[in-house]
Amino acid sequence: MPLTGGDDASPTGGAPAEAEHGAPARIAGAVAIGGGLLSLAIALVVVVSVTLRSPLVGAAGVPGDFELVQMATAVSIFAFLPLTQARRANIVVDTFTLRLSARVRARIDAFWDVVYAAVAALIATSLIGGARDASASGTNTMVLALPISPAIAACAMLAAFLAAVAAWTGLRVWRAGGAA
Amino acid sequence: MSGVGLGLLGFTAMLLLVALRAPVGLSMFVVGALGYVHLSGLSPFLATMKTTPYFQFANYTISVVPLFILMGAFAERSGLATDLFSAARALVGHLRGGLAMAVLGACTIFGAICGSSVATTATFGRAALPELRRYGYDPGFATGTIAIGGVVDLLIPPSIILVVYAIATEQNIAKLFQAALIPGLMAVAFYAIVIAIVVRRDPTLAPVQPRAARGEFARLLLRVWPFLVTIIVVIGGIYGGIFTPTEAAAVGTVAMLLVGLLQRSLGLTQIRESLVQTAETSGMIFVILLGSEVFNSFLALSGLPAQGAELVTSLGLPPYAVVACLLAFYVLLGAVMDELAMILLTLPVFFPIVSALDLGLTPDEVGLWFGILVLVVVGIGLTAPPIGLNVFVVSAIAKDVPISATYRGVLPFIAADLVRLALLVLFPGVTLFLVRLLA
Repeated sequence: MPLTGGDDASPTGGAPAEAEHGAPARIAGAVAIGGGLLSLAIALVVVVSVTLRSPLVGAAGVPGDFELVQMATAVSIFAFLPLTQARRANIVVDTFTLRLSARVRARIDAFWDVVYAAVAALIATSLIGGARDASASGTNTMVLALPISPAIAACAMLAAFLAAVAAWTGLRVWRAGGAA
Repeated sequence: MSGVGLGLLGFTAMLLLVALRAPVGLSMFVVGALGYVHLSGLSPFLATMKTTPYFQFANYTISVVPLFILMGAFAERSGLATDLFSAARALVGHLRGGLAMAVLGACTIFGAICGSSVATTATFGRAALPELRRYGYDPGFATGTIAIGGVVDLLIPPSIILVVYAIATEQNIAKLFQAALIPGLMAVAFYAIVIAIVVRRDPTLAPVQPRAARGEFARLLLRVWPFLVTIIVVIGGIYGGIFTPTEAAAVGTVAMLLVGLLQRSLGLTQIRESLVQTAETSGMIFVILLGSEVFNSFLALSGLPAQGAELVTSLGLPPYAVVACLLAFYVLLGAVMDELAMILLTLPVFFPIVSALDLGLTPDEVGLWFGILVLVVVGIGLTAPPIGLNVFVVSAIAKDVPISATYRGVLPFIAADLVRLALLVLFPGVTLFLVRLLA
């Protein structure tokens, strides 16, 4: 299927059980569910805020709801990325490489997984620097005066985990060599 | 090498990596990063990387993407599609082609909750396709109708692709949703006409089935009304300016969860699956958004988008011809690659060109109008050979139907799409009517 490179990626998300094999994939699944629950928490905060502000209640909304949504969105997105990689669901165009043997394609995929791991590692180290800067300068959000460095640091950790997952999928694809 | 030359080289290199199976987001990131470093040096790049990945996602507007996906995932698992299809069937199922019309009607309403065309195709492939087959519908006509039902979902707001377009071009999501409604309903009307014509020409494609039992429609309406109320609140709230899109998505997500829990259609397993689906689909989108952010910074530094726009304007081509060329290019590109990726790859260069054209519209209106045109083209790309993602999805479900039969089934609908596209290009007022009315 040209939509994704995933052998086990399914457009509806109901991936087959073999997608969950291996500890990294299972952890990625748990982390992603954590991110999903965070999204659900965002939704609840916004709903409470909207309800409070409605003419029926007429109160002020949840103070700083905007900032909470921003922070939680960033962290939840970084929590999603490892699962997307573990299931190899990233969008890949395979129209032009269909004639290559499965083995060659697996080698190419493994190579890009390693590149992805390197990019994720770069993002992780950069974000650690960003979190340090934010902590040193005491950067806080406007309304609630929450420090943003922990949120950036959390994203850095998740990016580091993404790097590990990408390296793991690369190794797995290389070993399978298109046989899977 | 000049900045523009470097921009062109970067663009080519990026497409080359994509052709070599590099994930689209990764290709954009890698080439964008190398180009940025070449133009500005390593330190400025590393400095932006300290904050860009965080602040790009710590964004209130962007939170609508996972929320709308989660809302659709809950609706999908609560069995809404089956109920909607059954209700529509009770209403029109006894007409010739009635089951196909029922798919169309159910997809229209489902599309107002679910923002993903592929998810809708898969859902209706499971919910409605067996019924169509059971009543002796021609296999290709049945699968073609399901694939087209997914396109309806794409056009009816909320639509994830439209949100991505809004983020990429900094357009107002609420206004884009307003602009999408009339073209979306036009699609439904056109598809219904196609069904009517097709089954009239060949009645064997769609055998008539008996009229539903009395009270069947009312019984089903009793089940789906909470969903209908949610749709009215979510879409109406956005149109009326009562909710921001994020607020509407949050309200819709929580409402879908509550309805599912109260109707006992959502258990822990379904909730878990919904969260995982949301993570996977959102992750796929956000990897590309991050890559495109880096790639766009590089392109902007190279000056390619601005110079490209200047060049096209200086050539003095008729503006509508330029738009037509860009859309034709999209149809071709959509035949070989994923639509979401296609939009994010090309908009940094195409959008400044379109914005620079003198079309007799305000810049905002051009942005909205072009967004809807792109959406229509994406719809064509989702069903047209040789790729057509929706066709693949329905084929994966109906394994006994040859893919060529499905392609034959969607062809009349694609013809209708091309007519609609031409109308929307020639008469921007159709798209902009609701936006102007609600302004």
